[in-house]
This record gives sequence, C-alpha cells and structure tokens, in this order.
Amino acid sequence: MDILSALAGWLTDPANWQGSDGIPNRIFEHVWYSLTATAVAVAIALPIGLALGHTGRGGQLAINVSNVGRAIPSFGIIILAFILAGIGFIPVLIALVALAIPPIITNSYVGIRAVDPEIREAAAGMGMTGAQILRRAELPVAMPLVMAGIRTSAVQVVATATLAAVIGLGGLGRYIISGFSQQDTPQVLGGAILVALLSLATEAGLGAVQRAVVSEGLAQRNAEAAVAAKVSATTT
Amino acid sequence: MIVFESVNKTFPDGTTAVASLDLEVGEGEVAVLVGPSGCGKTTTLRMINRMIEPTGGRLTVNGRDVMSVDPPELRRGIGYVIQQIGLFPHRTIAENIATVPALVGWDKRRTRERVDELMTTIGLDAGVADRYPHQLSGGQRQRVGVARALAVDPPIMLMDEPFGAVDPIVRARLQDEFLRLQSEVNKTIAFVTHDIDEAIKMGDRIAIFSQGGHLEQYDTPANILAEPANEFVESFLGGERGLKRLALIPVAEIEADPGPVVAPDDSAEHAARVAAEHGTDWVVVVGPDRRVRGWTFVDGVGDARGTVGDAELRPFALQVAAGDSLRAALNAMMASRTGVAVRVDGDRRYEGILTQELLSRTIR
Amino acid sequence: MRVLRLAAVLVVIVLSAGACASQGGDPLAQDTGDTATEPGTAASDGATGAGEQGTVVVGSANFPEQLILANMYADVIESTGATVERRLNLGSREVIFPALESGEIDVLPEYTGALNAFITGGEEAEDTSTDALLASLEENLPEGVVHLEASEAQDRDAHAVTQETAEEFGLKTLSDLAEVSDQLVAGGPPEEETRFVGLPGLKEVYGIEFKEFRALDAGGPLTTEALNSGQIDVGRVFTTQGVIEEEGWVVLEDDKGLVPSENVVPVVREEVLTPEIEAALNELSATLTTDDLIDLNKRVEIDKEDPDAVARDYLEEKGLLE
Repeated sequence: MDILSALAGWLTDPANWQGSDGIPNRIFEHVWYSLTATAVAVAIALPIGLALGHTGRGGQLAINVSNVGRAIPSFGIIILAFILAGIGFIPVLIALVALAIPPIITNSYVGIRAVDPEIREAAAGMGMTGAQILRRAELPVAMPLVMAGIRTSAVQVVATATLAAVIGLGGLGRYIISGFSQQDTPQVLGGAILVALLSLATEAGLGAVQRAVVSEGLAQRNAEAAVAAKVSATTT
Repeated sequence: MIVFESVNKTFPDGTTAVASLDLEVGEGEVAVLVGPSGCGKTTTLRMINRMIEPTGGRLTVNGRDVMSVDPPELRRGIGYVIQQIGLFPHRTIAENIATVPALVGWDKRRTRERVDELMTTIGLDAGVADRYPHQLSGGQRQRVGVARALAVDPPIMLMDEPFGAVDPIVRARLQDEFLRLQSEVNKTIAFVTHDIDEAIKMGDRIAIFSQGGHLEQYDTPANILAEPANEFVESFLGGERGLKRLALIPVAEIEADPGPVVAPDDSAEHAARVAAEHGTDWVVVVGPDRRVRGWTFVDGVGDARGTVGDAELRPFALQVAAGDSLRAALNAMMASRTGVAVRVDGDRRYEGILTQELLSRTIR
Repeated sequence: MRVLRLAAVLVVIVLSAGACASQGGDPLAQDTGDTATEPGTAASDGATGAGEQGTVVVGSANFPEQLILANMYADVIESTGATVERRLNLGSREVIFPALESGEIDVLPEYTGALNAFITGGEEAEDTSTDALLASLEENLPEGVVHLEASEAQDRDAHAVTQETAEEFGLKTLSDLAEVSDQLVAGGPPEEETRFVGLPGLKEVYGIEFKEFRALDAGGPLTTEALNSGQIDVGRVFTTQGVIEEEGWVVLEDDKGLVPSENVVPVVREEVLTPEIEAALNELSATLTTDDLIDLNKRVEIDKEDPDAVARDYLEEKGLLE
C-alpha cells in the first residue's frame, strides 16, 4: 500500500508536471522519438515489403535479413551506435528503427503475397499497370496486415524508446533510469506505468487509424471469416 | 475481329502450349475454345490481351497487332472475365464495375450513369450497388464480373470459364442471360470452357483443341456434330453426339408427316382404313378447328357403324412447335404410346407428326 | 475479447518496460540481480566470520577507480591467507551500501565525505575535514560495520569545463561559475539531482542554477562525449579521473568547501576483520596517494589496461605483496 500511495504522490506532485523534467515534456520527447523512429521505419520498410510482395521475389531473404535486426538486442544496438555516432538522437533512432523494420517488412510482404491471385489477375487483365495493381488492388486488400505490422512496431518502439535515457536523452525512460540511480522507486514505477499507458494509447490510436484506412468490405469479410472459423471450431 | 496467324507459345521450360495456331473470330461472333485441360485453350485466350505473350506468329485484334500495343492500353479495350471473377473485396459493387472507367479517366457522372445502366442490363437490383462483393451470392458476383468487363463497352470480350464456379441451375440461367445479352450487344467474344455442352450452347463457332495447342476443328456446333473432323473430335464430343445434334436442330428444319388424321365424326371403318394406309393401329383425332383432340387405337373405336367421336380419346401430353429442338421432339415421342410427336403451330393447330424415322434420317 | 487483448498488451508492455529498466538503469544492474538471487551465501559466510576462516567478499561500485581499489583490497587480504570473493562493478552507493549492511558484502572501498553524507541522510556536514568526517563515520556507521584508517589519497566530486568554456567565461572557481550558470547546461549522473554535493548544494552554497541539467553518467563515456561535443558545458567529474588531463579540462575549484574531503577509506564488516587484514589494509592506505590514483586511473581509462592487473602491478611495485 505504501508504494502505491508513494506512486500516487509522485504522479500528483505538481513539480513533476512542469519544466524540462516534467511529465508533459517527457511524454512529448517520448512521443517524438517514437514517432520519428516509426516514421523512418515505415519509410524504409514499407516500400521494401510492398515491392517484394508485389514481385514475389527475395521476400524470404529480406525477412531473414531484417530479422537479424530483431535478434540483436536494442540495448546492444544503442550502445554500439553511441560508440560510433556519439551522444544524441541518432543512436536511439538507429536502435528503434532496427527494431521497427522487421514486423513492417514481414507483414507487408506476407500481406501482399496473401492477396488472392485472381484479384491480381483481374486487375492486370483490366489494364492496370504494375503500380496501379499495387496501389489500387494489392495494398488495400493487404491493408489489415500491413497496419498490424506498423502497429506491432510502433508499440515495441514506444516501449523500447525508454532506452533513450540510457545514453543521456530524455523521454519517459528518464524516470526509470534516474529513479533507479536515485533509489526513488515511485519514480521508477511511475515512469514504467506512463510507458505502459503510452503504449496502450499507441495501440488504440493506431487501431483507430486502421479502422479508418481499411475498407469496410474487408473488415466485414474478415469479421465474418473469424466468426465462421469460430463456429466451425466449436462444432468440430 | 480477332485473328491468329501461325501463333506459337513456347514457355521458357520448353513446353509448347500453342503450336502454329490459325484462328479467326469474326465481328459479333462467339467463338468457344474447348478441349481437355492442358490443351492450350486458356493460353490461347490469354494471348489475345497479352496476359501471356505469344512467342511467334501474328495476333491482331481489330486489325492491330497486339504486340504493337502497350499491354495496359490493350487490355483496357478488351473485356476480361475469369472463373474466379476477381472482384475487389475492398470496393463496392458500383466501384468494382467502375474500375476500367476510372483507369481511362471517365468523369464521375458518366461513370455513375454507365454503372446504373449496366446494373439494369445484367439484372442486378440498384440496392446492391453500395454493397461489397462478399455480401453477394455466387451468381450475383458472376454477373458483376460480366458488368465490370462491359463497363467501357469494349468491342472484344474474353471469357475464361466465366460460369464454371456456380451450381448447374445458376449456370444455366447465366448462360441464357448471357445469350440474351449478346443478342443485344453483339460483342466479338472468345470464350473458354471445358464443357462441350456449354460450348455447343454458347458458341457460334467452336474451336476444339487437343494437347499441345493443336486446333483439331473449328466450325459451327452443328457442323462439328454432323461431321467430326477426326477421331479425337468425335471422342471429345462424347457418345451422345446424336442427341447433341438433335438439340441444335429446330423442328422447323424438317417436314412433318401428315399422319393418320381423322375427324371426330368419321366412321370407325374410315379410321381403320386411314390407320392401315399409314401402317399404324391408331389415329390422331383433329377437330374442325384443327385442334388436336387426342388419339385412339382403331380397334377401340367400337363397331363398324359408330364414329370416332364415340371412342375414348387419349391426349398427347407433349406437343412440339417449330421453334423447339428435335431433341424436344424426341422426348415427346418417348412420352407417348404412339411413338410419335405431334407438331402444332403457335395457336396449337395441328401441323403433322414427327417420327423417329424422320429424326434419324435428318441426322444420319 | 478486446479487453482481454488490451490486458495482455498491458502486461507485455509493463514486462518489457521493466526489462528496459533493468537493462537500462545501468549495465551492471544484472550483477546486482545476481547478488540478490543468492542472498544467503555471503551473509552466512560473513556470519561464520572472524574466528573461522570464512570467505571475505569484496565489493565495489561501477567505475574504474573502484575496480582498482577493490582489486587491491582483495589482493592484500588474500596475502593474509584469507579466501576472497570479488563481487565488483555493482552499481551506485545507493545499491551497494545496503548490501554491506545486510552482510552480502564484507569490504568496500569508500570515500569519507560521500559515505558520511549517505549514512547521515545527506545532511550538510558542519566540518568537512577528514578528521571530522572520520569521527562522524565512527558514530554513524551501522552496527557491525567499521572503517579502517583513511588514506591521504582523495577522489573528490568536482565540476569541470572545457578549456574553451573556461576561457570564454573566465572560469576558475565554482564562485566564478555562479555568475554565468544560468546560461550553461550541466551534465552528470542522475543522482546529482538529489545529492547534496550535487545540484542542491551548488544552489545553496554558491547560488548556482543551471539553465538545464542532463542526466548522463558518473564521469563516464556519456559525460565525456557530451562535454567534448558541447552538448553540456559543465560536467560532473572525479578529481582523480585520467580523462581530465587527457582532454585538458579545467576542474573548477571548490572555493567555498561544498564538497567534503573524500579520502579513500576501507569499510569492513567487523565479523571478518582479523588483525592481519586490518594491518594489510592500513598499510595500503598509508602508501596510496592522490597522484597514484590519477596515474592508475589513467592506465585503466585511457590505456585500457585491466584494473586487476593495474592493481597487482602497483602492489608489487610498492612491495605490498609478499
């Protein structure tokens, strides 16, 4: 109970809500790191995933290569990048982007490959160019999976952006790292909870984006398929 | 008009799908490409819009060599319907139909009007326009597929087993609708199927392919059934070739036999004589209004002084008219104890009888 | 279904955030964790203590000088015939001193001023001379823990600026810094914000208030990099760090005596203290000088020699090992 009231005290202390070390600024920094990293990762990974999916070549190789980024711990990348690039946002960006790329490549590749071949056939047969097939047929149909990849990445990035504090940057990780050094448990806990809440908000926010960009026709189809699968699962 | 001149297709692995094909589909004609699987019929179809590139020869569509046209541009001018339809699940029915108009840059209003028109043409309720493909039945989706191919009114249509994925009842209905539609729109159509009955029903001409893309015979259904070019064609047509031919020939094509006809007030003696003249033991009873009253065995008429009208008459359950097929006539023969079919005109007035002998003489 | 998934996501996030915290707090936190997983061993070893020959556990904080000192302590204790376990590189004082109190660690190299501030709860010491601090330690060290003789060698917390910054603002002392501090960004370990010798004392004693404080590390690579790249203007350093001379930084003089004397002093659990161990550690303390520390630090920090080898070299050179 003690720790909870200390936590409540930390969260409600007005001093923790202002200035450069205040919660609003730390959230802003955290969101900024995460947003930038996710945007860079999308800008790199989405075209690769879509192009591989569209051509159907080299996908497995790219997925394996990009997964190396996932195999190396972000903590290691951040330290390594710090040694190479020095203090600043770049090492954090490198680590977060490396973390965020694999789910986006994998999901967009798999999403495009999973588009029914007759849709591609019909699109080409009606006179769409390669780019038109990708943009008007494949991508919209693959959108649920593509968005799921971006969502997975973004949530991981938000949780991992905590590491920025390890190399002296801000963000909500600051509370966890500083709180740990200062033996200030409520601060550590408060920071962790804020990160968790921010991750949830990210998940929910991107869920809303997904509902907005995924065609109703697909959403309904998928929902019906899910129900059908459940029904057949329970009846067999 | 689609013209194949010595067209070849050899795949990179060396297999020849189509060998030196010469084929011509005339303006407004439905050419059905049929054959066993692997015979190259689909490859032939897909070369027309360059979904598959020919490796030799010359292939022209309305006078233009397909190899001289950019594939997307070529394809926008050729309607394309495939068995799996390939509707876009993320787009509404109206948006699906409007796919090619959007590609070629029609304005909204023109597109909307065309979509409405096509929905009516293919018999889809206007309420369906804003629904998504997964909410439609298989038959409805197939109609949308056809409407989408017709959107910019292309003179040429390619149809790859368009009705292959629906159940037989829906298929028959779609076939009938398609024939009605074609009689209005008069497209030049290449149509692939593996079903010889569908080919006979739909085709103005049928191209029968054998393995390796060899064209065995290309002619009207009636001619092919009458004179199969070779054993392959004959066996592909199957054992009921005679029946298939009968289905293609209308009753009007053959002259009916006047038959053993008597009036209701004719005497039994007269009836017996008429029957004997025709070599039957029954007579058809036709009233003064030329309507068929029925038939009776001559020894059922009673004593020699009675009239036919006194006898118990049996009806002809099935009657045929000029527009029916000889196959329908055969069916009517099977249904009657007399073994003949009665032919009537549009007002159901007696025109004569058709006998099995007449049928066999026709198709022999 | 949706609620369940959200809950699952929350759990995952909290777990991963926790993992980040333990990874990120400090690379050595893992060691602390290991210590915590086997709390019984060291404590019971300690309890068997003085009479029998138990294992003496030597601990240290996580910067080079501590590693050198702890290795020296361990070496000289071993030379008395005792069995030594080295549990080094553990973390900040806030983490390791409780381990000494609980008996998981028996011997720690410490500093008079910082330790005194820590055990007296950060109160400002009236008298920051070595003797006064030792007297205070005598009184305030927890039951069962004693300090031995302090060395003259000192490692004080200090604040350094680059040569250019010193020239630009004419900085020699912390009092000079007070004049311009509102234009400058400072950097140091997170605990700088809460320790009296850190920001609170600078404000109270000198009136120094920085434009901004950036939490980095305790005189480690982050501070070095940040100071050299100009991301911070004032860095918290230790006076014995080899990097100061290497980089040509200017250490600002503590002209109002904020930072207490920081003589190196061994603190030991009484139960493991034998006369031989006490004599050996005292002899080492008597030998060690501030210049020695600077020199040894430089060998580890700049020349990248191993702390244990550097420690052994020194002891052999000074004839402190048999």
